[in-house]
Amino acid sequence: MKKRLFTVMLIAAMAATALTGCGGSGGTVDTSSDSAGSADTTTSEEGVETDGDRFEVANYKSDKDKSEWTIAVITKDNTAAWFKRMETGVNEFGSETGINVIQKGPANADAASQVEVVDNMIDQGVDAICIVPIDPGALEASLQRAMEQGIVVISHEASNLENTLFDTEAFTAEDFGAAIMDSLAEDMGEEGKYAMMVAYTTSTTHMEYANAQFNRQQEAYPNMELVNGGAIPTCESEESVDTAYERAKEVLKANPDLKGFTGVASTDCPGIAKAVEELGLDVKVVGVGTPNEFKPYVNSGTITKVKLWDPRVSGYVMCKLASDILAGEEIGDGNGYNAGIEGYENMVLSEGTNRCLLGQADITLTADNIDEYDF
Amino acid sequence: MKNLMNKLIKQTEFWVFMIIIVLALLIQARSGAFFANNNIVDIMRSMICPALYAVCALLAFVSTGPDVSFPLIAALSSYLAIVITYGTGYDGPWFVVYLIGMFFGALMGALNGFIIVKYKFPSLIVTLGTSSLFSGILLGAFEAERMELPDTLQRFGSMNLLTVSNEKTGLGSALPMTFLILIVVYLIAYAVLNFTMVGRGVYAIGGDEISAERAGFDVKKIRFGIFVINGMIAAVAGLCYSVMSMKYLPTEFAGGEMVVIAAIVLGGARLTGGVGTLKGCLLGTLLLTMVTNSLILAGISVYWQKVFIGGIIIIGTAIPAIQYFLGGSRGKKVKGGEAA
Repeated sequence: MKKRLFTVMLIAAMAATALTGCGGSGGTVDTSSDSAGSADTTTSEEGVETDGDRFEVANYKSDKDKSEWTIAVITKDNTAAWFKRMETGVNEFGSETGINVIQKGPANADAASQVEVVDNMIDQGVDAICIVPIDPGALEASLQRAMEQGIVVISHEASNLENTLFDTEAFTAEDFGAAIMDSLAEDMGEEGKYAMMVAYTTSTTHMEYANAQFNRQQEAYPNMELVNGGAIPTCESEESVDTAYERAKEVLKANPDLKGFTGVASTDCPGIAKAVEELGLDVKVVGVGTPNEFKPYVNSGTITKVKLWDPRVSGYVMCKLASDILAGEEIGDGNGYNAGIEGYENMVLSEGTNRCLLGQADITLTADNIDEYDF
Repeated sequence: MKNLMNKLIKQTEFWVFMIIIVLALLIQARSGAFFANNNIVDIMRSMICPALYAVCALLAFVSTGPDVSFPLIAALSSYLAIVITYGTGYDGPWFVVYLIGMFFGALMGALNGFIIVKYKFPSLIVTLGTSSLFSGILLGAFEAERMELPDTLQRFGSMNLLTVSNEKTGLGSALPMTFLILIVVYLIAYAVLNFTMVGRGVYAIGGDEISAERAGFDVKKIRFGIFVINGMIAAVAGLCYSVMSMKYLPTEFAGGEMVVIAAIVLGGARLTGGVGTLKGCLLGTLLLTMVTNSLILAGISVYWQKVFIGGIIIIGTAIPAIQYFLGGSRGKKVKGGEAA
């Protein structure tokens, strides 16, 4: 009996430490950890800025000399080729400006490990955090704490993150979808039948891209026609290269006069290209993916164009924006912000969950320039 | 002749076959391209992996209960086989890579078998557990990524058993060598299940464990053996999948089990064990593969495709119930006749 009581108490004690451990890993902060979870409750304790102030850009001007600043870039997974590419942009910014920049990723690509990295960075006293969140929801509390301590928070690929001064994106889904269609139309000579593939009809961004492609075609290329009576999308790859291959083959069989094919998941175009190559057809394939994976098909000419944005530039832009805020530059609500790099010279503000700054930075890879991109 | 018909009507396989014929005619009528030689070859190619998995699912269902771990065993064992091939720089015949994969598959299957036999846990729970275990090892510990295949497998993958070309459209299609593997696996499984004592034992222990034990079957050994074999077949299927896509794709295996289980249930395997044939399992797989690979051809939109596939599964699984109903009423009539 005694033993059981002891066990229960031990478990209770463990649970208690685990719970408090989550909230109080900062240690030095006097902000109440109980309000940290919800961003919309205005904290009114002494010494804590109110919610409105927290998002006032001018409050983040640093008194230190810029050589003493540290900007931390926190990625989803620093081992991935995508984020290695981002690191080159971050380091480029560092050597250009002489500002101390570090890029860190979680040990495992999961939300909890990323929160840990953010907390570590706050404790180390960095001046700015630029983050590509794995799960925005899991980071809100930590990022709020960062902002309350006067740390600049900038994000990328996080339109639904609340605790960020600015979220930066390369483009809108509409623009990107339209750009895909423009590339395809150019290759097809603006006429003929085309088909579209997405991963799942339930993937929001994919469907946004697909709808934008179709809308663009409707308004600009009247001689082109989406197969299957304009049903969006034509087929699903289910995030599988082999399924993409089988579906593409089927679409090609059903539409022997098909001239163009687009795919928006990274699995789509390799599958489509394999089918097109095997059947020996002249079908133009344009889609979204990373250079290294698509290189063989681009070089063989089956995938004519790859659309994407460059993580090197995204990393650079986050650092640049953070440093401008630390320097106290006049940014206002961010509309028209110029990051001084191609595609981000005149960023457009879109207010949603956060202040989202959109660039016009989609890039097109072809056989001519794909070797310049190694990621 | 009438006897033969009666016998056929009582078999689930016959009805599945009829559905296949009717659907094929419908799709042909709508698209005009179903019976083209390239389409037939495409369907045969698509069937290879699901049909191999179906043997795993069938053996498990008939003898013990559901096994849902085969996609992850396939993923992990083929990963290990490929990595070892790279590590040793091996460049000999392809089947050695398959043997390495089968070795690891057998180990993973043995883990399933051990837990199920030793602790008498339900196979569904055990295989669900080992599935996430294998997935964790593959994606967490090994951090498996998409990768190219070693040269020996690339060569094997680019060999074709049969190449056809459609004269009308000029579209071609090729049947990969892996189709031979499928045939060999089915022949062996057929021979073992139908002509050996162990094979009869597989059905016996699924039908009634206690009677089987009294009849002299070693229930534990057979059950353990089945899961080991399942692991090996899964490994073969995993390597076939990689060879056919010419790439190792770690995230594409998981989730494949449900369609396969639906296919074998369509083919007449009973969820309660003891009943199920390879013929049915092949026909069920053919039916589902045919449907998933023909709906675009027939011009059905993406959203309706799922409704269609769901409908086929429900109709297919209803067959045994309909048969039972028909059989029951016929039985009564016969009895009445005898009495009179």
